[in-house]
Amino acid sequence: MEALRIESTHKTPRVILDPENGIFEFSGRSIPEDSVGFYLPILDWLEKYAQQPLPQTHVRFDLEYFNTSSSKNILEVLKRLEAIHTAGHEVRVTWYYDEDDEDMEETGQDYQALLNLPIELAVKVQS
Amino acid sequence: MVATQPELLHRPALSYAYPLYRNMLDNSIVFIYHGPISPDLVVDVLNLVEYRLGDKGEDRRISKKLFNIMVETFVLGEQQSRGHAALIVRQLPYLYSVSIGRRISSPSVYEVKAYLDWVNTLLPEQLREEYHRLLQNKAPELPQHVGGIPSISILDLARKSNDILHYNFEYLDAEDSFFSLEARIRKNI
Repeated sequence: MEALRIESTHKTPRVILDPENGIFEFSGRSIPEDSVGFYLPILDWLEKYAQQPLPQTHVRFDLEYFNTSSSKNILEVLKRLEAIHTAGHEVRVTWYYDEDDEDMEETGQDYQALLNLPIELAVKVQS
Repeated sequence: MVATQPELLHRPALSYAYPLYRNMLDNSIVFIYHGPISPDLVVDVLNLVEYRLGDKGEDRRISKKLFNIMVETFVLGEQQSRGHAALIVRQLPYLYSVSIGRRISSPSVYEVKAYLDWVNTLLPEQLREEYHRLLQNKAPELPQHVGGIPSISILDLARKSNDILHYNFEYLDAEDSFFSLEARIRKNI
């Protein structure tokens, strides 16, 4: 299975789904014009990955800001990961937030509450 | 004295520039925009407002909150066929205010008003629960849109501002009304 790599733009996140190492990353902003269209290939990719996932998958969300349209699609991404986790494969999600960004922290807590998936909230280390 | 052609062309500009400037000054408006709203614009506006806030040495927690609210406010102005939206950011000594103004259909005014009134009655925990239900599409009794506006955006703004949402409707004609919505961010959060 090939990796999925989407470079970031000023309105869409960088996405790296690496099936060789089981390391996934979403970083940047997510305010696409067509949120469903942007996330659809990612969801499709995850469906395929779910058929033969690695024993351990680590997913890193490091988002700057996003709108509610993206929130719904990110929830769909997390649901795909939840399905992998529920099937007995280890999936670990780290949700990074800026220590001054209580909304991003709260969004991470929302996903923790809505899903049966280990989501760790972590403060970003300022560079 | 008879005005020359160049004077006729320029006089209107001079006559509205000062009242507009005065209005912005008197109402502590730090940013105003009227036109189409797209994600490209969102990024540009955020950069501009970030520059203004950085210039004033604003607390990063407040800046972040303001940005998050602006990002969602833009959603309310996107994808509409009833003309362009207006965005206004005000900076008062104790709060920031982000307002979006746009046309909605006059028959939908009562629906939008009723929804906003209901949202304004909810406690933070209830807002959270309703937001979760809409996010998961588990609220069949709740409309996904009210007056063409995503309901979840309204809930999101109410949650983030941690305050009631202020609104106003101006009846224009049987088809259109002008709807404005304001989210406030208190600086003592």
